[in-house]
Amino acid sequence: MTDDIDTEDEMVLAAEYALGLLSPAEESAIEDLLSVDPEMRDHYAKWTESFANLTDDVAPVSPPAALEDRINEALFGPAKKKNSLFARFGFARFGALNPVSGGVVAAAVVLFALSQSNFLRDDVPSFVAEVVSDDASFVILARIDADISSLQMERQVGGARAGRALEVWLVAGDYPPISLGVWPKGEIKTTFAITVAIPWEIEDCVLVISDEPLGGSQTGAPTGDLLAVGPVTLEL
Amino acid sequence: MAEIADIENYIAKCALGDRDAFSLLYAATSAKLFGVCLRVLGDRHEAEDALQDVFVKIWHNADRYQINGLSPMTWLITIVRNLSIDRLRVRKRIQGAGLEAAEDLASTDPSPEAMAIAASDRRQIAACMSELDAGQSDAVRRAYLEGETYQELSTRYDVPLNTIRTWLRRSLIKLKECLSR
Repeated sequence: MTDDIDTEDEMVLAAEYALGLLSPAEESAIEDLLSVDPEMRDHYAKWTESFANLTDDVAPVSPPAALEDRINEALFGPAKKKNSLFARFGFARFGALNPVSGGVVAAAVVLFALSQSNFLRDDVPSFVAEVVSDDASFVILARIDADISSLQMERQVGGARAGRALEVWLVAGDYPPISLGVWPKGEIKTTFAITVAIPWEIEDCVLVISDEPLGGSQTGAPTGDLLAVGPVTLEL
Repeated sequence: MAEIADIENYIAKCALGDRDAFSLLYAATSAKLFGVCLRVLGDRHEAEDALQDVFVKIWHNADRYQINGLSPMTWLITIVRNLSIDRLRVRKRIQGAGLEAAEDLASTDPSPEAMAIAASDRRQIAACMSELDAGQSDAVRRAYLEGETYQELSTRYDVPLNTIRTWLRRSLIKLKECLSR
């Protein structure tokens, strides 16, 4: 079906095609025609433009904010960890709170320290985290038991500020941080019991250490500087 | 408000895998496109799913868009309209042909003459629709924005299928005459 279709027919068929009114057989015939007939393509392009302008009076409506994340995740997979965990979990999560600023994370050094440490090791698979500040002025090794019942931590570098305390938080996604407890004053190692139900995969969680008044935050959320951040990973 | 040239630029960069451009395109167009999804589907939840499909498709097909003088919004709106109508038809359990292929062709190059006419079409479509009888323009609108088929229009206006087709084709010819003036 090419030469025997007159111009008016082509014009109308292009409109019907643009409106989706044709049968599958007719549609496929039009598609053949579109691939060889520039005049048909012109008709189609013009109708497409005209019909699209029927939406001129459709009011814009902002889609929900979470939809863009959903689209990005569908296309690009789960959000990648950015170069600075502070950028992601510090500013994004706690808004006005200021993380301690610093340079590049000394990740290699921390990993070395972890692998050399006899602390926090047995034969059961478990979860570990290196909780570090942006400038590695603060390094804490952490381990969560396989049954997620307790968190053992060891300070490698850094400690509480004078007259202040360290508080440990577990954070996942957009959920509010859960306090695991206040670091006992002066201790290098400590263990926190995890008594709250964790309604998400532990590997999606991040440990955060914040600077708080003695006795810990009074609000249930971090109130002071975020001193160190570390994602929880499965121990290899 | 992003200019047409900005939107063309974003689409072109999406074709090269530029995710920042994709974000900018989303910021510039998502509200209008979501409005169209809502208009066609009339259901917020489904409109959200449709908009997700739309932007996934835009990202994957950005390399098929050619800057050709037609509004890039036409390309985007055609994708939105066709995906939304496809959903609507699934919902209505109508076994119709998919409209998948249609928007791929929305970017084919029209002649310069077509571009000039298309530009004037934009201004005239509202005026020309109002020159049609109320029933005629209503049917064209229903076909475009609600995806109604000849069968559905035939039921709606209570006329035989062949008659409705003849009648709508006559409306389209009249519409075209007006748009071409």
